[in-house]
Amino acid sequence: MVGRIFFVLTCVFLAVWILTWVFHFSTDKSEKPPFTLYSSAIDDFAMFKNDEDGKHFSDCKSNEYTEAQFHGLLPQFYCRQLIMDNRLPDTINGVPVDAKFIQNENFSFKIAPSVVNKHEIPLYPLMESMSGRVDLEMPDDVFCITDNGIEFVDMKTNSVNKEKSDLFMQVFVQKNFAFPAHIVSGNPSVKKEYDNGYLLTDSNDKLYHLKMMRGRPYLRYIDLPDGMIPKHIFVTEFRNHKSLAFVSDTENSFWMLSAKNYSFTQVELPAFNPEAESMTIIGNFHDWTISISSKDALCYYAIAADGLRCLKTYEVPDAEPTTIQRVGNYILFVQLRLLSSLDGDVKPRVAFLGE
Amino acid sequence: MFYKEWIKTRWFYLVCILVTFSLCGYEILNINRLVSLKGASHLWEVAMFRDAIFIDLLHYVPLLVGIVAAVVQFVPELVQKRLKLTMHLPQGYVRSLSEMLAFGFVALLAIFCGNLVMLIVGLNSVFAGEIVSHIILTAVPWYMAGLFAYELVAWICLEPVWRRRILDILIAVACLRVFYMSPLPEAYNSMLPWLGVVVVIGLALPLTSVVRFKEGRE
Repeated sequence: MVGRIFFVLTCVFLAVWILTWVFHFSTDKSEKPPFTLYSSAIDDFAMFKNDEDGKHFSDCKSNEYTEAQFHGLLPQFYCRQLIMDNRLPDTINGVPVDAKFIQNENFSFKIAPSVVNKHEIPLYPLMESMSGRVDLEMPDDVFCITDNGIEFVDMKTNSVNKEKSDLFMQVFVQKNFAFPAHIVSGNPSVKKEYDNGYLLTDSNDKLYHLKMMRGRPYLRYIDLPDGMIPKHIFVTEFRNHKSLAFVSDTENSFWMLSAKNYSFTQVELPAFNPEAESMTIIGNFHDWTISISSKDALCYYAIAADGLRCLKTYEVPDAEPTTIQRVGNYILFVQLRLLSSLDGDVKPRVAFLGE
Repeated sequence: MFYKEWIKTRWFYLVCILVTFSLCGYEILNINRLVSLKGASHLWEVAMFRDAIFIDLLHYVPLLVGIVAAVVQFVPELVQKRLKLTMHLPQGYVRSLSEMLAFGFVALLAIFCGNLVMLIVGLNSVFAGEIVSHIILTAVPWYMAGLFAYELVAWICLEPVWRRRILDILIAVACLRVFYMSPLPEAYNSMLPWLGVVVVIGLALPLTSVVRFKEGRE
């Protein structure tokens, strides 16, 4: 009896799963959206698309541009091309510029749910932030934050470095850090300009900045805006040293943490959930173009670099489902997938009526 | 019944123990060789930031072991027409077959647990506990696939009707595909308890074939 029930349930599970896969494999199409950036020169989004008909340069009002004109609309982004063409302006939006200044201020930032939702190993290398050398070096140890403290584990001997652990532990105790940590966020890579250590939240959701400077621990408590509880932290380490991190909170608000005075500024964006939506930021000294894409929509936001106010928005029209997709969604009213682009996990994900 | 199964499969399980433990030992030796060549720090970094798990060679080994174990145990029963005799034992055919399945399942479970313990001990000498658990959690679904493959192949072997057997093979392939959907480490963490339940309930599957056999379907 049990075997028969198990057999029937297995058949139903496999049938729905395979039919869902066949349906999506034969009907899903992905269309690459045009490359879009905010241009302060036209106070609009400039777009570039390369398809079978060739290259198209336009804006949201459907004005067409030549390639050279398009480069001129986005002088910060196409800085090197304009230098080569000897067309780089002396001032942009009233600010005197040169190539070094522009490149120093330009940054790009990307976060995707697949990275946010990844299972990471809770071991973190803490680099020397003031080594006095140009190149960063990976340390020989990693730290982990346990229920009771911080421990440094030497990778060569696979043993706890008690002396270093005690040294850091003293500072954590002095700063009233409540173990264990909720969030530990940093960029453990030597392929960056400089190291800004880690941002941590303790078990009371208080925020701290941890670095190692000349072998000594640096732990600083950071005041959070009223009612703000960090949920995801992304340490930035941009060349211009202006920001320390981007932070999304439990209300899905998005904030920039200043590196200068540890103050928070909220970015004027609608709710953004890093666990389900991707974000790309391409920024310069005047403005940032932020794109947020989810399963259903793609939106662009132009944000003023000064004050982080929203200047303009542009929502890319969602492609209408084809007749086959619409009919298929009704016939296959229960769909089952085991994989998702949002994370690498294998687990059943049931959708009704193609939702 | 256990003794009969032991006599029938002892050489297979001896080879199985030798092969699987040798492969685990080879993987551990290989890791230690890499440590001496490139340094432990390099391996830790590769494990932490590049999704390396160092035991990829074992990916399909439990699956193969599970399949061969079922073939070795149940094909002779059919070829030599011993299954019909088993049906007429005084203790009842369901109990007889349950004992046969229990023998194979427990033997495989013991070998797989032994493999995992060997890996844990070997990896612990090089890596921190966090990395070891990361690697072992990635490997556990492979071993579950081995146990489930044993049950599915037993189910297929015992099935009396050939047309139905072909359908069973297709279902078994689809079922086992579920265990190999993602190469990412710890991809099955949230599904492990469910896979465990499926593997346990799956033991009832070969019994359905025997019931059909007893009913005289051919």
